[in-house]
Amino acid sequence: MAHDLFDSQSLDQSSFKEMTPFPESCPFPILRCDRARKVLYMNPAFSDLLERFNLEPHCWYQLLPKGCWVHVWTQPQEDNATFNFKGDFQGRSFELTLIPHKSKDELFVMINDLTEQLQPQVKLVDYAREMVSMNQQIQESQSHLIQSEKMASLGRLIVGIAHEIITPIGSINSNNDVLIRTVSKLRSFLDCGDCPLEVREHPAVVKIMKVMEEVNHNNHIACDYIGEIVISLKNFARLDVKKKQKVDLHKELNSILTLVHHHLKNRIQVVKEYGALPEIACYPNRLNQVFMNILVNAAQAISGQGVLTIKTFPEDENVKIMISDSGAGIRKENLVHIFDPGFTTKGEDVGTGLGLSICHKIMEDHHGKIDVDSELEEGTTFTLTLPIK
Amino acid sequence: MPEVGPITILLVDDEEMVLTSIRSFLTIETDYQTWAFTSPVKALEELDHQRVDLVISDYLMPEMDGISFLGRVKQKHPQVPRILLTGYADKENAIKAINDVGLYQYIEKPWNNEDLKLIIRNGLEKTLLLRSLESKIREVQKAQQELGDVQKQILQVFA
Repeated sequence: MAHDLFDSQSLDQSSFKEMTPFPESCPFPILRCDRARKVLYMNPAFSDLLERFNLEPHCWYQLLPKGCWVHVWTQPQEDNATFNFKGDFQGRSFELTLIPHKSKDELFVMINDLTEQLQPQVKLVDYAREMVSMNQQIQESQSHLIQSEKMASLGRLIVGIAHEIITPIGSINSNNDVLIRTVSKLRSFLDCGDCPLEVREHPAVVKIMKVMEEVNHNNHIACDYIGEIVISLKNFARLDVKKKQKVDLHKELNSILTLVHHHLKNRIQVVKEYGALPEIACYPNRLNQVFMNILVNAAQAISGQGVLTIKTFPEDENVKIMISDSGAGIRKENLVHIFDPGFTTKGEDVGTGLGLSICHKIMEDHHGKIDVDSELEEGTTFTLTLPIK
Repeated sequence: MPEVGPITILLVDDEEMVLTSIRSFLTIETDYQTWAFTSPVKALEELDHQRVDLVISDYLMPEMDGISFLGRVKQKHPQVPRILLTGYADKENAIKAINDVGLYQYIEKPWNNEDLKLIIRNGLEKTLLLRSLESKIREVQKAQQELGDVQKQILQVFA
């Protein structure tokens, strides 16, 4: 472009305009001047630029950075060699391109105002930061989503299994009860006067009666236990989750204790200090997930023998549930991270690091909160706060 | 309480084992006669020409769910107490449906036999009371009719 401009030998300003309309409409300021800095041509963008800085046209050279004028004319350069400079004027940043035409003692100046370009750059960095944090949030909610989807399908599975086995269990349970009643009737018959002594005291009869009574008693305990677990499972994975329900939290806690029984038995003593709580409107299946998580964590924190204390009480407009273990405790540096998604000290095989972050989310959804307090070698207390209304 | 013949209980559950369990229990503990069906449709056919005193039905069955079944029973025999025995987890919907059909009781699986016995006994008491009330009403109506006849005769004599 510059070559063409200088080549047109007899250019005056008007013919220049006609022949090359480009510099006229070019959004970049362009100027042609002689060696005495006298303006030979200036495109509208250049005039606008000067106007913006309140500069008279003949003072245009104030835009040039110090020393560049001399530098350009003193360099032994060929015609049309380009020189680039960076400059500042009234808080704006430019990139200047100077193209001297020494044989004609003319010079061509192009200015690129970088200020607007730099601003987007700053904005871009902000955007990038925002994107990174958004991405992080998306990843977090994605892992929450996956986990809750997992829980939901697990819930459906549990309900399915519970429903399938509840009928046979009901039947076995009833049969066991019938057998107990039958054997007891047989016992009354053997003990009554109508029964001949030799039958009642016959060693085979005595032995059979003893075995039947013992086995029935044993079955009765087993049936009760299975029944309790199935009811707890059904309770845990309730299908009716869409709206809040009024719930007795102690019943829910007991139900979860039944489910985590195998984590506790013969090892951890459970102390219940239940206060008088009103019924709480909540999503019981989700809240149960919180109880389950904290109780399993507590059981895992206790390596040998220990105590698990569950304390509940109303306080102002809230109810509080404090679950304390006498376990290993949490290091101070870890304590601030325990609700972060993906944070775990259990090792990848044991924990996903999502449990407590989900608990946190569930408590938030209930307009409640979850707090932790821990002392190394002493134990950890999780405090759940739920609004009563 | 006036009783006409043995008390009859209709059991419906698609699982034979549940029927056997409840029948065994009622046999050993009560004098009730039990009819058990794995098909609610067959049970409804039977109800057309048989009198029953109480009906117990499962909820989830392939042919017809327990609530529709008990609804049909209500149409045929409005005074017979209806009990739903369910292992279904969605309690809320079940309860809603129960209110729509008007059931006497709702029992969850696994059930407790002693509770079951009590619920059946109370339900029967209700039917028997209703039945005896009906027969009393009939007696009173009959007596009233006779009284009216006597009154007419007296009026004729004195007229």
